[in-house]
Amino acid sequence: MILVHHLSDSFSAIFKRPHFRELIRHLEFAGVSSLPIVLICVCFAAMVTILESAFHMKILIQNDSLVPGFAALLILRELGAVITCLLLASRVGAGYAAEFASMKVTEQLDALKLLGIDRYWYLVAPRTLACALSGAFLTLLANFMCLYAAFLISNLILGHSSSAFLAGFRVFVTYKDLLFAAIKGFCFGATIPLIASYFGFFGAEGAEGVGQATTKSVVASSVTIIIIDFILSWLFSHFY
Amino acid sequence: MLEFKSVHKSFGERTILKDLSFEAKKGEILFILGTSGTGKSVLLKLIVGLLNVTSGEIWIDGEKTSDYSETEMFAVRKKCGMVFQHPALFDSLNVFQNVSYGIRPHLSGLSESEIYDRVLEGLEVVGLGKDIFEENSSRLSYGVQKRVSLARTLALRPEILLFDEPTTGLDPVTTQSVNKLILDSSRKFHCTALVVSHDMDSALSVADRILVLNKGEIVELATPTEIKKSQVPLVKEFLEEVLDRGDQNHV
Repeated sequence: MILVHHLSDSFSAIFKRPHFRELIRHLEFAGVSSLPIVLICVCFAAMVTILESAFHMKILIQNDSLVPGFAALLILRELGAVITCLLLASRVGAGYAAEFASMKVTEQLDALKLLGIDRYWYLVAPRTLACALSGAFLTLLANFMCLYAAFLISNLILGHSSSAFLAGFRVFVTYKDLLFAAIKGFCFGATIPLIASYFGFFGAEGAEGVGQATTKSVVASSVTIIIIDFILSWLFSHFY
Repeated sequence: MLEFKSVHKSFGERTILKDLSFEAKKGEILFILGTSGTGKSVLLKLIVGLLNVTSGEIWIDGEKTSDYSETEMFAVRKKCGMVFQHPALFDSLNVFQNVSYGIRPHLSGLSESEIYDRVLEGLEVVGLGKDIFEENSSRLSYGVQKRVSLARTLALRPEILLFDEPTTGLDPVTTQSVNKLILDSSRKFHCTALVVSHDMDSALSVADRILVLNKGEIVELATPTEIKKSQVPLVKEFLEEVLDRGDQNHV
């Protein structure tokens, strides 16, 4: 019941005029500051994906010519968005949950209420918007980075020519994949502050409560992202 | 005027406040004393609707506020300024933004220069000035954060001031200055002040009346002069602690 109230209050706050200063601050924190770690991680994930795919294809059918196209498809549809947002959940979500739980302990949430400031409008809405936009933006950048890393591995280690990679890419991938990846990134990103604020606002008191809120937030965000990924993938499959 | 009528507060099966009845007159400084966990902070939170009463009534200026909705409570919170046990400043804001934040939604009619004056006045009452406007609140010392927190409350010009252990964690010199601030701000703005504390020394020097709570019940409600003659065991313990401290200081 508390979760339902929390989500309804959060969504009604999101559709109000946003607090622009907070929005910009959190776009910087969730988006810009997360960029290096996201790019490094997805880059290596993409390289591992294409190497493993090629290794097993060679064993099974003694042919890895489909690997570049297949890897590109996997990267665009799944890897880019999911890895990016799981990283956001652990970096940004953990920070938010700890911040909210500390605000509860130090009575800042009560102070907001007494000053007549809606905590959902001031705290949750700007972070949710910032994380959703950052999720979409980082997913797109991560996808480009992944594809470039996959291209390099395909070209330098597996020995596929540039034209072979691009040909495989064109066969398997459409513009819709990029659009759907951005939508996934947006949805995954939005869930992170909603979950972090729930555990921060309604968690236990004290230092132990802060730790618990952080852990629970990261675990719940990660699980939710994977569940939403399944639902969206199933929905998007109807558009191909 | 603030009045409690048979207020009862429980959390599940745990009873915090039992049948509490008292009143605080306009402009009065009422100290609420008691040992830890006796429901002092809960009492303050009931007044501003951060918690709801289990039974009983709270009346503020002739209006029964204890059954107000969250929306109706906004008007009550406008009347009440609360200084929390923690400074509760917003880390991401500087001092000016912290103090002015509460004025904007409450008094949207104020111009920027009026808000500036209000912030400066609030800070000056607590012995600070515009030189700390730009300071990040999280980088200030605990004592200064407490002062800024009080300035933020005073800038709202509340009719009722609520202090939750304002001197806890402060050194004796700062404690004295906070006591003076309570007295000054209450007299200057003619507001009723309810001060939750376990510092009998402060209560005796600042309060008009002192209410002593034990296990959620009122065991004494009297003026400082009467309190000094009280035969209630808990009150005597508090007084002995003050005398002991006095002896140590003397030595």
